[in-house]
Amino acid sequence: MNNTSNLDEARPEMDDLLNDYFKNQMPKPWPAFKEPATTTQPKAETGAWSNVSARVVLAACVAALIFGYLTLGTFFPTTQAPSGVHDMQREIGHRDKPKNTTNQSDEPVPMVP
Amino acid sequence: MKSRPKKSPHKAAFEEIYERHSREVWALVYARWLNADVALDIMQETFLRLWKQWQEGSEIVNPRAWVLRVARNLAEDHAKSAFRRFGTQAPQTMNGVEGRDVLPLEGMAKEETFGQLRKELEQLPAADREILTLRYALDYDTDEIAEVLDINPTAVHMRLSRARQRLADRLTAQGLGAKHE
Repeated sequence: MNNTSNLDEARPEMDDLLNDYFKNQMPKPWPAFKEPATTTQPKAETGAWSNVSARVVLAACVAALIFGYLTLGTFFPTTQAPSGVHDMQREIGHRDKPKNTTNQSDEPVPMVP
Repeated sequence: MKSRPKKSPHKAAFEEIYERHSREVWALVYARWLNADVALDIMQETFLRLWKQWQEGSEIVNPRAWVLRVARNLAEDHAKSAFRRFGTQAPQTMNGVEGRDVLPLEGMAKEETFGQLRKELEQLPAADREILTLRYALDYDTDEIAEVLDINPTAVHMRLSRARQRLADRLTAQGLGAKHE
C-alpha cells in the first residue's frame, strides 16, 4: 500500500519531473561492493607472529645475559679489590698527622732553665 | 592455499546488507550535497568502513543505523573539507546537473530543466530533500521513509506535501511545470 498515492495523483507532472530527475541521478548500473585487495586478516596474522617472535627473541636475550653473568662469575670469584684503589678511597679527604708531633704533645714539655 | 571461489557466509551476509541499504545511504548523502558522484564516493567509503569493522570482529547490532550514521558524518566532513578548500561550496556543486544519459537533442532541454529543478531543490531544507530523494529515487512510501529517517509518518507526509507544493509553485512560475512532459 502506498501512502503517497494521493499526492501522486494531485500533481502528476510534478511527480514525473521528480521521478525523472532523481532516477537520472542514480548510478546505473548500481555498483557492486568490491572487497578491498588487502584485508586486515593477513595483517593480523603477521602481527601476531611478529609479536610472538619478538617476545621469544627478547626472552632468549635475557636468558643469555643471565647465563653469561653467572658463568663469568664462576670463572672470576669475588676477591678483594686492589689495595691501591681501596687505599686511595680511604685517603681522600684525610690528612696524616706527623708522629713526632703526637709524641711531643703527650709528653710534658721540659722546662729550660 | 588458494582462495576459494565460493563466497563465505561472512561475505554473503555483508553483501546482503550492502544490497539492502547502499541505496538508502546514497540517497541521504545525495540529499545533502545534490551531487551523485560525491554521494557514491561517500556511500562506498561508508561500506568500506563497515567491512573493516566486520573484518576486525566488531559486533554491530544495527548495521543499517550504523551505515546511515557514518554516512551522515562523512557527508558533514566532506562539507567541512569542501569549505576549507573552496570557500563556500565545491566547484562541482556549482555546475549543472550531471546527467547520466547522453542524449544530444532531448537531453539538452532535459538537462536545463533538471538544472533549474536542482537550483530549487537547493533552496529546500535538507530534511525535505532527504524525503524527496527517498521518495523519488528509491520509490519509498511514507512508512518506509519514516523508518529510514526515524521520524513520524505524519511528519513525512506533511514535509513531502509541502516540499512538492513549493517546488511546483516555483517551477510553474518559471514556466517549467507545464513544459515538462
